[in-house]
Amino acid sequence: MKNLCKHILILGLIILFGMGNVFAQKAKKKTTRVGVAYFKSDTKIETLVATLRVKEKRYIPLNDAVLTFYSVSDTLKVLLAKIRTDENGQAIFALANNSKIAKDSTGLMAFVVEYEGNSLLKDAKRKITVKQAGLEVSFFQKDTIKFIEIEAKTADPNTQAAPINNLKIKLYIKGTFSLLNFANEKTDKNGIVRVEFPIDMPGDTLGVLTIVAKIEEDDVYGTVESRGEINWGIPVPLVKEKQRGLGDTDAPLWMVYTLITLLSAVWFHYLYVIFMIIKIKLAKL
Amino acid sequence: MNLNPKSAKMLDYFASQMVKVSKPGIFWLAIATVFIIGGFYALIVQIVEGHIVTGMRDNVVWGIFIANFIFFIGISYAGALISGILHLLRVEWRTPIIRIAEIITVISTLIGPAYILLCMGRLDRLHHLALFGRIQSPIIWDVMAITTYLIGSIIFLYLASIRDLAALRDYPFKSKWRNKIYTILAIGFNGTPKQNRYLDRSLDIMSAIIIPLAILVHSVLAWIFGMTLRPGWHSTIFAPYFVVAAVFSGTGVLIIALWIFRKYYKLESYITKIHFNYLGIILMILGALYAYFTFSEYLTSWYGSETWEMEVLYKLFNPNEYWWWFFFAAIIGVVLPIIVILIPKFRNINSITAVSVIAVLALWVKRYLIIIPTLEAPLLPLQDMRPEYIHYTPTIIEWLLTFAGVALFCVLFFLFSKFMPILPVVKADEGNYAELRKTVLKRIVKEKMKETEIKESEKMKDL
Repeated sequence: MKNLCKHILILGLIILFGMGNVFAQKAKKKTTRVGVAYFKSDTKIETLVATLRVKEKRYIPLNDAVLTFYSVSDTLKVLLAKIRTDENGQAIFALANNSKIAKDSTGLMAFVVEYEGNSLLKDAKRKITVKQAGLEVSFFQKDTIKFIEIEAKTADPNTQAAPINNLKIKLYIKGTFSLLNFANEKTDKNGIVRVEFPIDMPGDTLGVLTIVAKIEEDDVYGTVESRGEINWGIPVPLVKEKQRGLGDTDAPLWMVYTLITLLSAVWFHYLYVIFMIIKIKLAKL
Repeated sequence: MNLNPKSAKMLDYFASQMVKVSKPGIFWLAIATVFIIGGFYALIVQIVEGHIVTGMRDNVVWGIFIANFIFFIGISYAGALISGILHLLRVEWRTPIIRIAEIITVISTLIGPAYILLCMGRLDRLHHLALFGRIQSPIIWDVMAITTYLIGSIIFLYLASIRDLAALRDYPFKSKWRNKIYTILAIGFNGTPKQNRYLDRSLDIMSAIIIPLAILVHSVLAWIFGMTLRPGWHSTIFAPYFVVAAVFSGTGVLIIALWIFRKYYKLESYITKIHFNYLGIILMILGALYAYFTFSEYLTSWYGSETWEMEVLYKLFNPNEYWWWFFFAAIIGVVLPIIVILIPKFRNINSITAVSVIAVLALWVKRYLIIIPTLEAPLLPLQDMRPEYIHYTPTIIEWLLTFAGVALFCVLFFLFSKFMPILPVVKADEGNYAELRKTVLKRIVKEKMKETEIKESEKMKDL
């Protein structure tokens, strides 16, 4: 009887701690978060960039996890792709006129990106709806004033393009390492933004500047970018890299001249002394 | 213009010494010859087997051959600088020093570059230096500079020896070859005012040109290291540092040579304590300058804490690696000469010579420490390498060739002293060589007569 009680007690403890462990594991499951953004580049390449993060002390990117991309409509949920996240926790899906992508009558596309989760991480998903838009950058001059004109239109290949009004456009000048923002305007009823060209900006050797027009993280159109080039900047002469000549076949001229001068100076004196020795020989009695 | 009888007596003394070799001379010559033969054997082994018989490998590509090269070239510059400066400044006490300094210059400039040849893997491509050499390379500067310097040193030594060669030409040596060579080399010098004028002008020019040339040439040698982006080498003060170190070690060698020849040829009345004191003071000043440069160099490297530089510094300051060598080269070899020469109580001919030996050895070690620890701190980290690829140890072949170089230096010096008086005999204001010949002939006749008288008196006694 005593032994039976002992065994029951041990079993009870095992169950207690074992269950506790199970509960502990459940309690330890970490929260994850999926973020999705739509990008349309200047070259008209459309992508969905999904980012998976896990909550530690703060949200940090989770790499090597699979994200599933779906195209969704009221009735359908079509699998588009399963993509593994990179070291930044990002999985990039290119739309590329995919026929599986569903659109409603207004041209609205809906996507869902899901993370299934695992024994340690919770699952997560995010829905995004996007309408395709396009920007056109053009330049014109009125009297002496130079302008940039941006035209925002819908860009659904199945429907006719329509101007988008009241849309916030950001204008940048492309620098060597980053973009320099110089104007933020909203489109008028014709979907057009006109901004005076910043004529005091340094361009390349020909004065060419790249103007970048952007719709940034818009709730409907996502991020859309378009670029235009014009030689209205201040030409900056090319800074020629100074050739040191050390790695070239030919030595730098200053080095050649210095060497010749030094050696000539020394050898001239040698020759003069040899000449004096000859004179000593000739001057014998 | 009469010949100074003192000079005639001196020449006579040297001429009699030149034609014979004393027993200690034969002994040391034999020892030196053994070392030279050992070096010759090592050279053959190296040629047959290749550089695998040395401690040099892919990583540490320079070893004690380059240390020897810098050492010999260094002492040669000191000879040129000292003789050039003393000649230009017309320093009164220069006479006994100047010839030895000039000989040091020529011999060490001949031996030093030979070590570069020993370092080269493909000697059959030596002529490529002339054919395809790039002016941008400090190594090409060095080849041009050393060649120019060697020729200049030979001209300088020859000019400074013409008066003595003329005196030797007129000296009645028994061997014909000597007379022939002296006649050719004396180029008919008779000490006429015109000849003296030409000779003095040439000597002044050469002594003026040899000083900047010596500084420049040793700077070029320093730039071979300084121009590379290697820790411990890439330093702007390397050129003056090398020059000061060279003159420091060269002065040490000069003092040692003076001491040896003073003893061997019994020149106590010519090479006096004053000469040792003056040279000792020069050694002390140079030692202080060298210490200043050393401190400045290592303090700057240490303070900068650049990773590569620190790697070399840790090697130098690590007791398991190079600390004791560094301690000897940078502290003992500098502080000891300064203390001994600075305190008058310690200052005498033997002590000055002893600290010179220490300074010379320390400076050789210093050259070793310039080369090896830097090459043992590679630019790219090495993994899974054989220890001999990372750490350099000189082999017996390298040591044999090193000792052979030192022995050859001594032998050439000795042979030169058998061809020319080791001290300048005829002064610039002397020139009546016929008078000299007369004086010498008179002495010989006197000796002969004395000998005959002795023989006759002995005969008479017998009768």
